[in-house]
Amino acid sequence: MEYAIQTKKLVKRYGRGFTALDGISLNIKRGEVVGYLGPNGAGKTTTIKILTKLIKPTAGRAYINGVDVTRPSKEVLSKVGSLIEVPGIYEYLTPIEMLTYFGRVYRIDKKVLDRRIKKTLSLVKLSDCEHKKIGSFSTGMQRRLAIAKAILHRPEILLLDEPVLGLDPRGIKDVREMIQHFQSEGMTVFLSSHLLGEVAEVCNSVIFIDKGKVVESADMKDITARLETKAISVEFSRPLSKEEVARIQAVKSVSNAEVSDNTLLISFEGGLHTSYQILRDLTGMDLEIVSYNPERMGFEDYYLSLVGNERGVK
Amino acid sequence: MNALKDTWYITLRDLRTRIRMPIFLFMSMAQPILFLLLFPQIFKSVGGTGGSTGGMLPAGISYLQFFAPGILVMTSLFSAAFSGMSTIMDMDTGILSRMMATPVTRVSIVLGRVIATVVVILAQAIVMLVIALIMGVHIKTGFGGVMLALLLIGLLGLTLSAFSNGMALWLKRQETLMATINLFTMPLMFLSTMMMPSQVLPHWLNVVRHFNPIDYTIVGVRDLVLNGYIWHDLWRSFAVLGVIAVVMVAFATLMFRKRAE
Repeated sequence: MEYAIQTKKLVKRYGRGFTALDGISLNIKRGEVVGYLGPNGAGKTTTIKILTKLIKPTAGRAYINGVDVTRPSKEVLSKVGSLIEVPGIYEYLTPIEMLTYFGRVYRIDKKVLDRRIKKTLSLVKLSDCEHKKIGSFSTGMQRRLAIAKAILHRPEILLLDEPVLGLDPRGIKDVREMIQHFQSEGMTVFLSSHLLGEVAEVCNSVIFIDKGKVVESADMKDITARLETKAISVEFSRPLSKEEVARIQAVKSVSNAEVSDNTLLISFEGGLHTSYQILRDLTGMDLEIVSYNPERMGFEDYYLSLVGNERGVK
Repeated sequence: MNALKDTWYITLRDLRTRIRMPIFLFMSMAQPILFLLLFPQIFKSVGGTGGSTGGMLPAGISYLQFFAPGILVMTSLFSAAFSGMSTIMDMDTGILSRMMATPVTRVSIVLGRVIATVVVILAQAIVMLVIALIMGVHIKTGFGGVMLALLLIGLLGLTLSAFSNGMALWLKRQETLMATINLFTMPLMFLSTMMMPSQVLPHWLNVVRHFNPIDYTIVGVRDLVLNGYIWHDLWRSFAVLGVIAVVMVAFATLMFRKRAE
């Protein structure tokens, strides 16, 4: 099978013995939206830089649509759009001028270029500013323009390194909607981010990387299933007596029960099925239950359980 | 063909950016203009005065007439030598990475910047030339000689700009680049016949200037302004500058490719 993006035991070492990537192997299918998560210094940006031919790996191979990116040919980049680190703004140019320049570099036919630029600026909601100097743009506008540049040539593959960095909630929502739009058009999107919520919202699958190695790789559906229920918050119509609390603590699988006014936080061993059993047992005790809320492990807790501290932090 | 097109697009983009920073264009000419106004006054007695004592130049040649070609070359020197600063800014802001993550031919990224610098230098040289003409400088070879002089100045600009951009890609920091460029440009300027005729320079300096590309440019331009078409000097100037230009462009391209590692 030819993957959209593939790496085989990718290694990148810098001077003085620092290993940024230590045998990364990725297989990303066409049309997928994949999140690449890890702490600062994990190797996310290094991976993306290798895929965009900005740096060469020390060992291993990287492929875009089956083409080895470590080979001299640059034409593979015509299928790739990228947003890497700092947006890189051309202060004294307007969006039209900047996109015209990139359109020519990407060999977009002159006859279609003007129309394509208008459409792309409309997609990223910058039509009103097409003739304003980029130097006057806010961070959010610069990011959107950087995305416009990345998609102008209608790439098959989009590599986004921290696309929502520095954006306010409105800006984050705009970028999320854009990524969902790109996915609907069949683009393969590979994005690195620190914002776990955004990754969970838009990605089909997630790869966790730490200290230059892949720690975990799974579909979002599987990860969601793994975020097991470990506690239940139950609200009663009245405060419980000590005897009633003791009866609840004696229920099979309950490891602890903390009382807080009318609410009981019940911790237990097991999964979702166990929580249903506990609910059945509670209703059998003739207690008036007002509300029942399973508390799931958050994606953040899952992420932290997989990846350690940032590199350089002892 | 792609390399030519890419070079054209990058040159245009660079020029558009520079035109929108007119203060920068003016500031890079400020020192040469100041020198052109001040030095002929300071070194007035150096000028040939048809038999008067104290003149070091041939009769009828004022210091202004002698110095003006040097000033044209100085304009090229300062503008080209610091053109690498823009490259470092592009690296720091991510613009260079953006360009490299596209199918654009690598050599065109260097050439485009260098050619844009040469265009600016030639425009500045024309402005300096007009000022010199207004001040009374006479060009013996006329329009043809001016064209050849601009060609020499452009070639020097290309050489120094390529060198500056190569150093920028190597050093990667503005402060280090500035210090390095100053280390080169000041000695190059003074180890030449820019300010004084060769007859009054010490022997060792007359030897050293033969290794200085600035001096080859000055000799060629000065001949065109003062003496006419001295083809022996002109061919030698073009040949030396041509070879050094090729070497410097190769150096800049090599530094650019190494950056990707």
